[in-house]
Amino acid sequence: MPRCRWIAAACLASLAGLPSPAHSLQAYAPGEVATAGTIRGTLTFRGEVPAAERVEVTTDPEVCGVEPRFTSDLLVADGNDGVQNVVIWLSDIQEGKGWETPAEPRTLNQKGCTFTPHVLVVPAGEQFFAVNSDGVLHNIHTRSGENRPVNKAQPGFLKRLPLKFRYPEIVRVECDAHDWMMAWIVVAAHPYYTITESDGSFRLENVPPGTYTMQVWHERLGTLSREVTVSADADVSVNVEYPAGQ
Amino acid sequence: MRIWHPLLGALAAIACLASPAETFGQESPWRDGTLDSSMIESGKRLYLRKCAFCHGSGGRGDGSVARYVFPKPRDLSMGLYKIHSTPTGGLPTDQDLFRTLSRGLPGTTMPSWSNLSTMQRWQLVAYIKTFSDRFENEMDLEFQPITIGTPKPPYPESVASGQRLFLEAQCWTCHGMKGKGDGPSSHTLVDDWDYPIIPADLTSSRNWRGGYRPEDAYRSIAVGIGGTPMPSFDDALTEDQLWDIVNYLLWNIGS
Ligand code: HEC
Ligand code: HEC
Ligand SMILES: [Cu+2]
Repeated sequence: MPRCRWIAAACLASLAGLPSPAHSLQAYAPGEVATAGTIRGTLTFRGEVPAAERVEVTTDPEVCGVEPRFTSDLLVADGNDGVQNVVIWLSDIQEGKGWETPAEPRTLNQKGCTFTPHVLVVPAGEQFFAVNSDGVLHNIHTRSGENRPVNKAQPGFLKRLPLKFRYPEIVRVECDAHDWMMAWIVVAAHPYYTITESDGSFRLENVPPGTYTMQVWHERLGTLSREVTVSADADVSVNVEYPAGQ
Repeated sequence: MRIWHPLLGALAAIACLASPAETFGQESPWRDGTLDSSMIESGKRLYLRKCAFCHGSGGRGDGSVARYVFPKPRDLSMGLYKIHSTPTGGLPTDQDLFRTLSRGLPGTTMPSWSNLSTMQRWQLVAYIKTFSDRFENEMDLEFQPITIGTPKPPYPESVASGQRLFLEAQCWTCHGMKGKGDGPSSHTLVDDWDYPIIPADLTSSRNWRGGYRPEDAYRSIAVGIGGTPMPSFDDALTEDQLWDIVNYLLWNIGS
């Protein structure tokens, strides 16, 4: 499996135009949002989609399955060419809504030797959990630029492993025990981050009126950005197409 | 009172004979945190003579012989180290670096520099830290070295408990049931420098990078080996359990 290692991940993070830690920590002020609009749209890709990679399962077949696995880092919907798992955020927003308290704590689940979700958004500095639903050993091994890398074992008996990242950036997570297991943790400076659905659609709600830079990042297709103007009580539609042939 | 296992005593004696230089607990000459620039200068001169042909004159791990060497000489500019007594992802302490230079990294071409004077080794430590700004940026309390207590005597119950834990915590997934480094995941492991890596052979502790004293093994299992698939187990196992595994490794699988 081709791997983006530490340095590469650091480059990715800087490509993505993530703010430097020092400045991101003071930049965002949560508060009441009196008037707001919604940004909605779809991310598409019409280029050639590489075939999924075949991986033989040699470790923990009783839990991971005996059948070969097919993994792909580019999921494109059949009907509308929508791309799943694209991260979208407003990189220069200064003020807006606060984080909602989720009903369940935010978790990165390891189930059937797959990380779910594949891309998880967590607030910077907030604790979340790696959950082991499998009862076999996994390990959380990260590559990052700003945050320290971690490599923590999570044997079958350790159901919940607390994790925390301080600086906003996109962190890559792998399990060394199961070569194919891979996920991304989006450490977010504010709540205006979202991930596209399986049809490539997304929405960012409750955005105060203003003009923002909307960043778009996909693990394989890379980074794009668009300027978006939001007005009060209105929907603005932003459809983005990844250029083919990369 | 502790009942001393006769074999333990004998082995400890041998270990002392084999490495007379295991007195690395010394403080760095810059205890108060100020690095004397003349130390760095002297360290640089030494580095260029002794280390650059492997680690490269800029510390990037690209010296003239680097391509003939495996594992590769460390790229010291990344601030990513295998041996550290800080939690996973942490930097080595000055003592860790001093000790690595003094011992070398067994099983690799990184030699022991115990032929250099203590002061020279400290000068080298001072200099190699300048290759990565992580050392300056990440001086915070969260990343203090872990506490390593006193080793647990290798009673049979402790060794047996270690064996159980070796199975339950699935060390064998990488290291193999007999610890030979041939577990089911051993063929697919890659390190953070993008090279394939094989799990350590747990039956030959002399080749462990970070040392084979019980305290060394404890540290390697508790915090892991930086930049490699060897994960940290300090969230998963208690101090007692870690010592049991250490005893299993040193008194069963490896003897
Ligand atoms: C013959 C080649 C060679 C020479 C000469 C050499 N090294 Fe190394 N060094 C290595 C290799 C190879 C590694 C990495 C081993 C590994 O990854 O397990 C390494 C690793 C290191 C590390 C990293 C330790 C860790 O915890 O990751 C440091 C620090 C280091 N060397 C310092 C030095 C210094 C200082 C000198 C000169 C006094 C020196 N080396 C000379 C080959 C060499
Ligand atoms: C995901 C794979 C993996 C798992 C699980 C794992 N190890 Fe390791 N271990 C490694 C690798 C790879 C190395 C070699 C690192 C190197 O060469 O620098 C290693 C090295 C070691 C070393 C040698 C350290 C040194 O100083 O060189 C010890 C001791 C060790 N492991 C013990 C354990 C124990 C005990 C467990 C279970 C509690 C365990 N390992 C679980 C992959 C693993
Ligand atoms: Cu896994």
